[in-house]
Amino acid sequence: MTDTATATHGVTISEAAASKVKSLLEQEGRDDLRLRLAVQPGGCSGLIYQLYFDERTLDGDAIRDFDGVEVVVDRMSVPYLDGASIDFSDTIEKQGFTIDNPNAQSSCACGDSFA
Amino acid sequence: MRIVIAAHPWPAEAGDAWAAAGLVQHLWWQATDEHRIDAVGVADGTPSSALTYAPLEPVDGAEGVGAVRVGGAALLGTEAERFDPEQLRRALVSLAQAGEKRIVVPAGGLDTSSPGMERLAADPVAAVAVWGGDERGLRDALGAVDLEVLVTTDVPLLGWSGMAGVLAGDYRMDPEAAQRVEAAWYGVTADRGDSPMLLGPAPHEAPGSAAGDGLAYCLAAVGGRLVPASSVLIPMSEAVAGGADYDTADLFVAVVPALDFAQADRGLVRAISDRAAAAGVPAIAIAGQSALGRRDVMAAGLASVHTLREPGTLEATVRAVAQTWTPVR
Repeated sequence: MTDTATATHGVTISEAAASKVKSLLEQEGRDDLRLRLAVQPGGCSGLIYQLYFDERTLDGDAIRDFDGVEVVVDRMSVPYLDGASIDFSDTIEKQGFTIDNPNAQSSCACGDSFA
Repeated sequence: MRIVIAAHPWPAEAGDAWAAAGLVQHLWWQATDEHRIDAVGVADGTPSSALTYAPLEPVDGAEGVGAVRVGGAALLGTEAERFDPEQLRRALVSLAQAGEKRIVVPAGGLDTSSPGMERLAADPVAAVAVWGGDERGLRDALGAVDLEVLVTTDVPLLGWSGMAGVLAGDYRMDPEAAQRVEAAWYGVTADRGDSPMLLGPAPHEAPGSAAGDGLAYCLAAVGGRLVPASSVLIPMSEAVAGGADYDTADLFVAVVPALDFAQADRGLVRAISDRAAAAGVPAIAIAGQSALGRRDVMAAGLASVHTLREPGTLEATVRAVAQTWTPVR
């Protein structure tokens, strides 16, 4: 069996986000899901964040455990996300997951795309 | 002066990508005596891209779909114009079962030809056959595979700026047919219930998910990553060519049969202009035809675009461009 999870990444997750993730996973009723954060070319600023639950483990994936919440980043995305943090807000001003990425030189108004 | 030339296939006058690159290199030498020229052929991201690198190796259980090993990946390809979705599925499963870790599928872009749009209208969701009626099973089979889907368009599957909207608005697809295409794919995405993304676009909204008449969406739905074709194919070409340093030059030249906005935004031309910008040197394009205006050329990071005045004049055009950009000794 290939060891696919020996690498680490520089992404962190806030307590609020981790708590929300645990809540969502409980709703899903599955214990095989991890939180995957990836970047993909596209969007108004050049790169798009993708944050979703994923049961897969790809060759070269980097995984970190945050009190039971496993955050996984694929090999190609690791350099773009070094130092990034995942947060969750549920206020009138802002709702949902957000990414604070020190590597991003600019981002668009929707917050989904960065460069 | 050092020049790097990257060329797409140019069947009408030069043949495959390597032949096109070699021809332009040779013509440049002849015209200017400039000998420091490196040329590389780059596949164009269509389903036959793998043939640019080597003959297709058969894949167990799949007919008409083969693979070429390039850059540590299995690059799938077909000699046909497009993948047979069912055979593609068999190839994917077969390779995954054989332990393949990285599979690359060039899905191409939007087929804006009249026959292409008619084919799409006749069977809008033909690409769904890649799931083989068991999308979950295919996703599980590909669980450990890094599946890269190469796209040459950033058009998403659905929406105002989605596949049907673009074909109807920009390419005169029959509006009723376009509406049927949109409705058919909406039904597909609604039936399967795209897994909610916590952040970022859902598969049917992802840039490029319309590629291959929706094949890119189907592959994204089972875990595939949509990436611009040039970002993968250029390194593959450089790995095959070997030797030269393709990052440093005094001039970068992109050679493409047609220069449109997709090329300028995400294609070989954009990749070459980005590389030139990083090196602080000019990039130019030689194209059979160009849809770009002057501002678009500037926005694409190109110093100039040289188009053929009439078909069959590639040789004369290259000679003129070479003498424009390279001092004659």
